[in-house]
Amino acid sequence: MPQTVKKQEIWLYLHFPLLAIDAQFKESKKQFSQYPQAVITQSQKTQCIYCCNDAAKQLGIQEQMSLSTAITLCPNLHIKIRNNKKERLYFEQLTLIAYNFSPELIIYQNIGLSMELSNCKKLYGSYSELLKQLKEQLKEKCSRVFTGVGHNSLAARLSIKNKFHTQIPKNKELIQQLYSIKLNQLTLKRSQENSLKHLGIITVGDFLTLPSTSTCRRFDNEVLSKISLLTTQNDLQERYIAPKKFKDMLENPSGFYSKEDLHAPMKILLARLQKHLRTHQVNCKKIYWQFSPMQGQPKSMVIKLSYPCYGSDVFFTLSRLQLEQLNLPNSIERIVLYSEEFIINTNETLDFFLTKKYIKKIHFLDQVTAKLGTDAIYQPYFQAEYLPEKANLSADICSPKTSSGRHLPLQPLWLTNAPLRLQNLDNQPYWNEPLTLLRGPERLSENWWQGEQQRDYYVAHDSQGSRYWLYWEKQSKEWHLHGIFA
Amino acid sequence: MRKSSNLETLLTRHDIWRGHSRSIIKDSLTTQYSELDDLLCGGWPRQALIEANFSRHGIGELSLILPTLIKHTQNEGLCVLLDPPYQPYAPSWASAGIKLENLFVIHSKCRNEWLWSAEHSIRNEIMLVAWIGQYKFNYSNLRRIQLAATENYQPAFLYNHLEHISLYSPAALRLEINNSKLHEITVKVLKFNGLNSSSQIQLKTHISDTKRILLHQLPVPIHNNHKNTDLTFSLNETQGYILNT
Repeated sequence: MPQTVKKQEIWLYLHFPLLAIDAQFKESKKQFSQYPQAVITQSQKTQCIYCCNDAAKQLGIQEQMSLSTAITLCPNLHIKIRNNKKERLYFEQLTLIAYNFSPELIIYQNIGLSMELSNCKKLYGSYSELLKQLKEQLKEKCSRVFTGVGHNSLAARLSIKNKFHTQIPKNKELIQQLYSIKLNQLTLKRSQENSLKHLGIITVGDFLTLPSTSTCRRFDNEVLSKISLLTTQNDLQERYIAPKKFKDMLENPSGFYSKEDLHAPMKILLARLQKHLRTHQVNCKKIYWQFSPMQGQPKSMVIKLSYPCYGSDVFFTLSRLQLEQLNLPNSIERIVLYSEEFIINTNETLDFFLTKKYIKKIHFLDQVTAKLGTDAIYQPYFQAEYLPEKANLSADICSPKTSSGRHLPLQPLWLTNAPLRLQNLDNQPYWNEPLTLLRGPERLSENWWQGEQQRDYYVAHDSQGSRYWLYWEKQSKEWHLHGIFA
Repeated sequence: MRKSSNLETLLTRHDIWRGHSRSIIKDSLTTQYSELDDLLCGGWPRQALIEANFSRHGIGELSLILPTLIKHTQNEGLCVLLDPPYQPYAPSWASAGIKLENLFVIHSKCRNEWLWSAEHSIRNEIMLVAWIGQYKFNYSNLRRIQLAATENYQPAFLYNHLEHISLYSPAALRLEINNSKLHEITVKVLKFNGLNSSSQIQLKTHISDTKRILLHQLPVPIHNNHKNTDLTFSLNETQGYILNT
């Protein structure tokens, strides 16, 4: 029986040491990264440095240092209070970047993540190309990323280096690396740690050289299971499941002062949405924008599409059109893009069957709706009713109706919004001038067995040749103008 | 040599026309009325803004383009009615042959919205039928629409009341529609590139007939509760009282 050779997994651990700084200073990062920056936390009664960048470190500022000391060392220190929510959101964005490369992710305490690479190597041709592209994408968002590589996620995390790997080490090197992991990194019980130290077993390699029978007798299950976690490939840790909604925002503390200024950040956010949709192989029909000023209530707008898609350009065109109609405060500080109504992507097959004409039609309708509002455009249709005002209907373009033609007796192309009561002078209908009846009557009545409302419709004309559709109402004994033959 | 070839190229442009040249327009769309096609040297000019100035609603002004609209919508072309004066009566439009799935009505709230809708419709290869209504547009506004129309393969129709007609218009074709007598309209060419203006024709806009029953043959007298009602009917039509059965 042929033996199946199990493919060796390669895990890459990503650690973001300056996540707190990046999350807080990301917008101004390009401008001010050379300036000393720090994120502080409140511990008991004192404020201390939680994280700081290299420029701050060069001036002697260290983590856990009190804020007053830090300011003494560097009076120009840029400080922000740690914001867990922002950090979480920022980490989610980094996770999504990683998710674009590999669907198999394990999150570690919202500060690092492991990703399995062996399954996506083929897509990029080589590990070095994959790592290069990953580095490029992460570089845009992170000041610093450290990586570790191993045959499982724990091994990768424990063998982290203060650099970004540009290549995956060979199998031999990975095993050597695994063997050199220090046992105190495994967070064992103090007593176990001391016992191992006493026996001169410092690294995983030292432990694994011992005969398994003796290790089983000498050490408890905790040590053995942790070692086995490091050496096996059956990583049972919970995998990352991509969120079903998308939320992203951009901030500019100096504010956006015109609608044109908002276009660039909107494009950025929509590009991120597009990436999100493509990564998750879903489409989207509705997005929500929120524009928040420095003070006052935020303004929102909803962009709806007739059919789901993922293209950022489609969303941007509609957003721009609708934005023109929106009254915004003078300055916008924060833009939020949100969407949660995703539809599984069947786009390829759908596009194949949709004609170009149809796609053009729906894009046109969406653009009109975005610019003028949903009530500005409709599609006329009708239903089987006797009274013209009940038969004539207007369909929302989001839910178009199909109505088949039927042969009608003489009826006009235009209908007045409501029947207009005409004067009856000398038993003749009068509208600006006496109207002369041409043809009729055609009797229309609704539920004649229930009520008395009966209408006798006539075609009439005036002295200048305009032709009208009138009816004589039996109950009220009045003439009404109801349509115009054009 | 080169200069003459440049001139020839220039003269082949669709927006260049020579006075007194009356030839069949190469790119035209039949109006489905042979007399009108003759008058317009082939039909509605494509890639053009066509201004139809009418004296009154209800004289048959829409019947002029109705066959064109029917054909266009039947061929899955889209048509937009921009600011129609009344609501389209869908059963009648469908009965006439218009495919309602391809017909849309837009109501603008202001002048800018009207202009945007008109231009945007044309640029999306939609057949536009627009009514100027209450708005006033200057030459450059309409010029923009005309320019957009040159990029579309469909003609764009602009209905305007004769009372509001301006002296100058960028439209490639300007018509004046009056009624000469009942069920007949006079279509007069006010402006058409390459054609002498003031040419005109009469077109029948007769409303299609239905089964008629003469009044004295009715099974019951109509309005029998108004015995004294003396309804006035035009004399030449009195034979045509109908009861649709």
